[in-house]
Amino acid sequence: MWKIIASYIDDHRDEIDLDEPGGQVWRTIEQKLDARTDLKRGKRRYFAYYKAAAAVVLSVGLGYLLSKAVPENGGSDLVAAMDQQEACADFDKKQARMERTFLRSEELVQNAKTGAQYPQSSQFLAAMDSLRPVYLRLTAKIKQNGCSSELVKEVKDHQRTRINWMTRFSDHIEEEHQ
Amino acid sequence: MEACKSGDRNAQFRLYKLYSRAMFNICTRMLGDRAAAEDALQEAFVSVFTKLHTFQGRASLGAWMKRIVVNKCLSLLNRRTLFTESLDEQLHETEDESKERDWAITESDLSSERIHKAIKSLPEGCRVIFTLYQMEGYDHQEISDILDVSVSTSKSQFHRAKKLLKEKLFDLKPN
Repeated sequence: MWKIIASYIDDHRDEIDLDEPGGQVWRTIEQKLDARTDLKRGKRRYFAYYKAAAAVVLSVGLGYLLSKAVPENGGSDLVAAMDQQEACADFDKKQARMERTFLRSEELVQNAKTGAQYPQSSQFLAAMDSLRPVYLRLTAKIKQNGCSSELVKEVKDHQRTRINWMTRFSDHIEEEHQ
Repeated sequence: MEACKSGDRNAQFRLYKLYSRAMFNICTRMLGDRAAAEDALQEAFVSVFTKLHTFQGRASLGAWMKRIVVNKCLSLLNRRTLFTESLDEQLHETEDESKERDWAITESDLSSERIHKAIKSLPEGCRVIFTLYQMEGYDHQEISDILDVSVSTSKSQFHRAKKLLKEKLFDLKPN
């Protein structure tokens, strides 16, 4: 007998579902969905306000800093000239330091090439080899053109790179011989 | 679907109209109370529309929505008081139809309205299990996992629901 009932239920499922929800159900669903949408919009608006405020603060701050950096008479040429003068004042020291760094690294390269003390130095040697032509180009430029702010920057970068490699190589040697 | 996902209210209303009656009846059968069923339906549809972008199409949309509705109903049910039967009430009936009383019911005696009323009059625990098993197609293992009861409880409650339904339909059978 149960089979009859079960079969009837399966065949007449839609008709058995007699209950209908009230009209206010959909209105409540709409209200809740609208509330969620408003919340999202509100959050976006909130974030947008903060972004705008942050942009204003940054602009004001940068403007203030720039006004301090640049003279009121808008003398950008004067600033560039002052930069160069300051840079060239100690250019001789920079050049001397670069040459000392170069000599020291050359010494390390020679030692490494003997293979007796620093067997795992191929990476260092490769880096030093790549820096050599840069050094030669810089010294040629210095002889030809004299000092300029661009050249000062190049010399500093080159020296920094060379020192960086030498430091790494020293660390490597220390590890190897511990 | 795409219109619903993008928040088109007209499209969402059309989807609601398509499924609300079936889902509402699941809620009334599970919760036994119209107000609670409407609350569950509202919460379920809000979830449906806010999570529609996660629907991957592995099952039908109706089946996916049904899962959401059933879960909402279950969250509203007080599961601790769902089954208060004593051990004596644990039924071990078999489905041996030949041993049943000769209930004089044929399909022509049945009506959707009578079955609807009979199901709603079942005690809460076995009504929930009857709804999940017979009406919504869950098996006893799934029911056991969902309601955190044993499979044997699920089966015994379902047997109880069947017995009560037969009695109620017999009682309701016109002379």
